[in-house]
Amino acid sequence: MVTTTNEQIASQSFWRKVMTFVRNNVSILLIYGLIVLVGGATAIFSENFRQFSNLVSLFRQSIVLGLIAIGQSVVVLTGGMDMSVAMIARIVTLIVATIFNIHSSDTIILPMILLGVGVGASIGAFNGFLVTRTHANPFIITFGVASALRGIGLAISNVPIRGVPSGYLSIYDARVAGIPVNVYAMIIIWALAYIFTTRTRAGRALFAVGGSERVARLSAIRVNKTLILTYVISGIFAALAGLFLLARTGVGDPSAAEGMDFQSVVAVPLGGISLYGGKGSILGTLGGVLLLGLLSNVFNIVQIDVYYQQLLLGLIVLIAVAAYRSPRSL
Amino acid sequence: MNPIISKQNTVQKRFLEMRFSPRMIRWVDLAGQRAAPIGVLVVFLVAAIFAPAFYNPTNLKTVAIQMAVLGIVAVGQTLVLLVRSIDLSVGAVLALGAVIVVQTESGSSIFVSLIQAFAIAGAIGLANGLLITKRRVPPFVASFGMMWFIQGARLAYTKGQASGTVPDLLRAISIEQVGFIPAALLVFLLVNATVFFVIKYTRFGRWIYAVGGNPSAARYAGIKTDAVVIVAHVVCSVFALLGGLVLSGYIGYVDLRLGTDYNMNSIAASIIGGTTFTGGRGNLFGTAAGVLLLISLLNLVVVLGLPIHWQYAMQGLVLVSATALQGLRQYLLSR
Amino acid sequence: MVETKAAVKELAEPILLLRDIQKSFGGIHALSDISFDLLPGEIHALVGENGAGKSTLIKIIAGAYTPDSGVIDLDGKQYRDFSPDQARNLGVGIVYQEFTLLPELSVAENIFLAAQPLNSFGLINMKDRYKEAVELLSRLGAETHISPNTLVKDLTVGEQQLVEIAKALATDARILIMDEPSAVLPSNDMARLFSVIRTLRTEGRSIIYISHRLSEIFELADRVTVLKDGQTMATKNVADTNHAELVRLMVGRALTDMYPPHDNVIGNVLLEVKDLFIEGTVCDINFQVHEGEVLGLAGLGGSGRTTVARSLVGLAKILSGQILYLGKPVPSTPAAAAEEGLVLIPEDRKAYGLVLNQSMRFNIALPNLRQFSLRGILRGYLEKSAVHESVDTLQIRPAKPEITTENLSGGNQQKVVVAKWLLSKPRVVIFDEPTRGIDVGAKAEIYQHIRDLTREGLGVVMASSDLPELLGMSDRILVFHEGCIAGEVSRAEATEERIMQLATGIVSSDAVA
Repeated sequence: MVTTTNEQIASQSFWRKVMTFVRNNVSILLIYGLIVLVGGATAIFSENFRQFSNLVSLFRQSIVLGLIAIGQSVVVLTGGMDMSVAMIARIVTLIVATIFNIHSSDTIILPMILLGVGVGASIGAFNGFLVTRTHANPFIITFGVASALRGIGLAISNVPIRGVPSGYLSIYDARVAGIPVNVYAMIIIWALAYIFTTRTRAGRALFAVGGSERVARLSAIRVNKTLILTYVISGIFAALAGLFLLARTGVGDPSAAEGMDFQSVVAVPLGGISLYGGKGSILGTLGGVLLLGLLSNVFNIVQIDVYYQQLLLGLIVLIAVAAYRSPRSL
Repeated sequence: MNPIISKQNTVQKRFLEMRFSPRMIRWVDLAGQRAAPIGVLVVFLVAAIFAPAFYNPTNLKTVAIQMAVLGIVAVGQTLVLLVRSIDLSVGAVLALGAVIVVQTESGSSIFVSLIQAFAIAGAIGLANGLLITKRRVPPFVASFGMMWFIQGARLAYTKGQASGTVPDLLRAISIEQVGFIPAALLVFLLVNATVFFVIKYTRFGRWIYAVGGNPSAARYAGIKTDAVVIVAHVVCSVFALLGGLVLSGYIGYVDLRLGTDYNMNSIAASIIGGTTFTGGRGNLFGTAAGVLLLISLLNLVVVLGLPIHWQYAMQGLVLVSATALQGLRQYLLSR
Repeated sequence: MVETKAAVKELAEPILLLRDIQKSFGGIHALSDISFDLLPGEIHALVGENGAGKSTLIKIIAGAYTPDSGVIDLDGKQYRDFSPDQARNLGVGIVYQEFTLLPELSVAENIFLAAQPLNSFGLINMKDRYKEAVELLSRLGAETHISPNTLVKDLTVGEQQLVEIAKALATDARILIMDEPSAVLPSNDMARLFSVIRTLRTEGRSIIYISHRLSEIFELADRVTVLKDGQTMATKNVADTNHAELVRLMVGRALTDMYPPHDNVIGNVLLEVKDLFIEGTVCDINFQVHEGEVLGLAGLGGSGRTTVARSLVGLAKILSGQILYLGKPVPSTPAAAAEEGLVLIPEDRKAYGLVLNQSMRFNIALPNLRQFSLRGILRGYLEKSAVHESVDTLQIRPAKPEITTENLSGGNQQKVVVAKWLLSKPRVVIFDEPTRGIDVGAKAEIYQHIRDLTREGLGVVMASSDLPELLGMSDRILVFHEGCIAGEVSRAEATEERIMQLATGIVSSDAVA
């Protein structure tokens, strides 16, 4: 056996450390690299893009997707998927708007927020039970739940619901030092999400369950409980997104959050979280969300035909998908 | 010295045994297999009692044509599900097809546009198949990315405007009647008969079930598993296109919102009919029954005069129940 | 410097005691009346053939299986059964052959997965975790090689194994079970593993060490227990025994008359292996297979026996040398080989041999569909008659071809696999573990069919870990050991002992005259 001195180990390991770091974090480096690239290029060529208000708007537009994507990331990390997120957001918007419509007052704002979160959590728990008890395919079954929710949403209303109190609207409008409060809030939320997934036992359990249920079980991790928890978290964040949408538009929009489920499912692997579960970082998802928002923004500024936007996005998704390699060899 | 028997273990054991007794497993399996036909009977009975208007000839024609459209798409989806894959781009292909034919018929001959359309569908299926087999992309990621791309392409191509008239040929294969039967249904039957023949009487048909049932054993037995999966995807896309053409013929115009429901409904119909996600199990009769169940259920909702949100609720309910039932059935059968 | 073995304290209380342990799986006895004891601070080896019950025994100790009856005595307290969690809490750690590590997570995280250290905020204390991981790794002498922040997937197999051991140590295991640890290690890591195990012994821990490499036992262990056919044959001090005696305890059964008479005539060479070198072999492999003969391949896990058998149909990459079938090189895929008449009946029939949710007829017909098609269309009558004939010849029961194969017994499932390949009219049939998991009656029938094949002039290669079967059926037996052919034994001179001696690498000085 070849023995190497400690010095040799130290020096060769620096370079090797750099290489392994790069290798293990390819997706994150890639996505933020892309953001810098695209953002930088547009900033150089476009006056409009560089405006402070535009950048702020860029972040604000990403909040809804960002919230939903956090919840989706948690589910995907365990190897599942939640296609009901968009409809949960919508249902929450509609329910809260309806109550505001009946009794519009600033005093019930906090209870309404709690109610919204509660609704999201309950639907999430229902999803969790379905998936764990019946061993059904999460993608399809949450899609079915989404369909049912869509119907319920239409039953509640198919026209916008008015009556949101002004105090509630301040959730969207309030600013501190020129930057909307909700941007600060998002920074905090992402930071908390990061801490959860990297520094708490429950968060690490996500990676264990996604990596190998067998190993997770052997390590005294309650697999079913963890899975149900992920759907509850996803439901809660979807609810938060719905509440935010309500503050943004000021009305209960019956077509709220349309397409957000698919967008979140794109943002997650774009940012490097494997759809098989067990690896990736929530910061990557943030990158995915920001990139999607950036692209949208850039397309508008550069005035690319609306009709070509989706095509381009689809092309990007396809390329990302083709470059994507299954982590487990056969 | 008292033996310390682990209480937790024995209680847990008894609970598990209780939940999954052999009798229950058999019941779930049968339910999974017979769910669709039984459901159809129930719907037809309910219709007979509460909504006799359902049996009105015009309404039955509507049901038949809608069933034909979904049915054609579902056959393709079933094939793909049989080889352990899935195709989420069928809805987009369906819509794309209608658009292409309608838009180009004004310039060139309809047959040329048809050929172009089918070629594009085939290419899409090929791309899906290659992504899944050669690049090992998970099937729904691949087909779902493809869906986005196709929708984007369609938007770019049509610039958001639906125009053009539906060629007579399409109307002929859809709404025109041969005796009592609308042409669309004949197309559906033809598709089913062809696929049925292939499954029963050709080697390829056997290969599909082998690849889905046990890909390793299939490879060992000399079957080119990748080729089988790719062909399944090509066929699925082509059928989706065909469905779109029949649908255009029926509606009479091109609707840009066409197609979103067909993804989930084609999957739901197959699942209700007994096709599993794990491959190797499923048949055309079951899928046809599943299609009939879905369509007649949705139609019943309309005939009963219930508001539209019931449709979505029904779709969702059926999807959830079917998936839950099949999931449970798969799980129990594999223990 | 010669390592002196720790003197066995015969008067010390055993830390673990198993009495009258019985375990059956669906009617097949895996263990009967097992007794086993483990002293503190000893390395106790567990040996036996494949299927002797070693795996089952250690899984019972680790809480993964529950014995049907019998008593487990741990530290003076008795248990009938316990869960893996309980076993872990009571100080039993196990390192399986199949690692229980998460490749995408770091070493430190894997070690402490069950209980990560927390700080005062309830968050994972990364510093403490790192420090404790370093501490555990240094006890294993690995702190310079393995950094706790490295991802497990970036480690070598040997290093991963050390992480597994560290995992067991993290729960302060006093009893460490190691299931064939040397099977996955390259030879240079073995020395390190041994020194680690000895270190653990000096800490007062006990190690149960399973291996079929008897040389390791003599180098490492204090005592050894031999299992055979689910029973404890003997427990001895290593110093008081030798290679030959162990082998004699491991095997040595009376041959039953399940085996058909040897009335086959041996003809020309069908298959010739020349100077073959593939992954899994160390020496060049040479042998021939003749018409009408049964060539047995014996050898323990990792000896290369199975890999060589599989290479005959193109399933292993040939690094140098040739395999000639009827004078030409063998095709490179099993399917192509089957078309030429060279078939392999794989070891794992459920994974590679059958589409379980389909009928017998489907499975038997699957590779032979071209035979049943006229102008591209399958003809039911052709298929049905061929299948009926197969079912008849091989006596598959129940004789209903429409039955789903997963409802058949193991023996009949194996017959379906044989039937399907026999339809392609092979000239050489290679069996990999032909009667694994099959009841006695079906075994006898399969042996009869193999004899029928040889009477028709086919050449048969039988790779098996069932010694009586090899002895009963083969005309010659090639014994593999550590990637080489240790010897060829003719039917006349073949005994279980002789084969096992060659298979375990006996050196002539170890042999008893």
